[in-house]
Amino acid sequence: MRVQPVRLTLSLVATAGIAVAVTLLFLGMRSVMGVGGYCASGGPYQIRVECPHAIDWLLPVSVIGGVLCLFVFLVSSPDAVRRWAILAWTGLFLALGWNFFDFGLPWQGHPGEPVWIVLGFVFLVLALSPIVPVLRSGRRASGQAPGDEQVDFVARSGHGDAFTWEWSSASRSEADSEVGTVAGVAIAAALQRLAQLHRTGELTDAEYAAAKQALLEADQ
Amino acid sequence: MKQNNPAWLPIAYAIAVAVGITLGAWIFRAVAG
Repeated sequence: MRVQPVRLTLSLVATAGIAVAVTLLFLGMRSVMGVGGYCASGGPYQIRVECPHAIDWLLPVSVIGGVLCLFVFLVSSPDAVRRWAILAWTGLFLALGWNFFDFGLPWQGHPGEPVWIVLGFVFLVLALSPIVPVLRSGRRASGQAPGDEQVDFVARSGHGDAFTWEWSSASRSEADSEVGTVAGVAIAAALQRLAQLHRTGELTDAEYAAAKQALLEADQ
Repeated sequence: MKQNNPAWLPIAYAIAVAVGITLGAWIFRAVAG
């Protein structure tokens, strides 16, 4: 694979930027959970729990910065690397999910919060669910136990799109279904023609029954 | 045709992630610590 230095540099900087954003969100979330899980700052109201210093702007800036870096990553990355963007999602939800477990379980002096443990499991599922199709496609591309579907994926993986296989598989089954429909229409037309010949007397009962049977068996 | 990544490519991205995490922790400590 030929790598363009400028695009690769942009892609690496964007990767570091995503990691900065996820780290800031992780630490910011811990900071807010440390004061009870919710806070506020500014405005004309009397605030029960003041936000930790700088959290009020740090978290939104992290989210916006992270999304911008993800965009730069997707635009600048080499084709074969672009699919790794899914790891940003997994890393984010694993990191934030860990916080829910860490503050939800009754350890390290925390009283424990069952709702946060449930949220921890939800984030764990969110983190791992997109990994499954990527691992499946990677296994198919690894060259073990070749079959029709795998050959199709390897042939298309040159485009660097992990999900091409799913699309090609779907279109293949649609094509198979279309072929089946065309064959069904042809059989129906042949049966109608046989019935017509039988009605006009050109085929005896025995001939009609045998021809019909042969046609139906050929379809199966 | 199947593409092969250069062997150093995953290492480069792993280093970029490590740098980002370190930088993020440093920024957080400087701004909100």
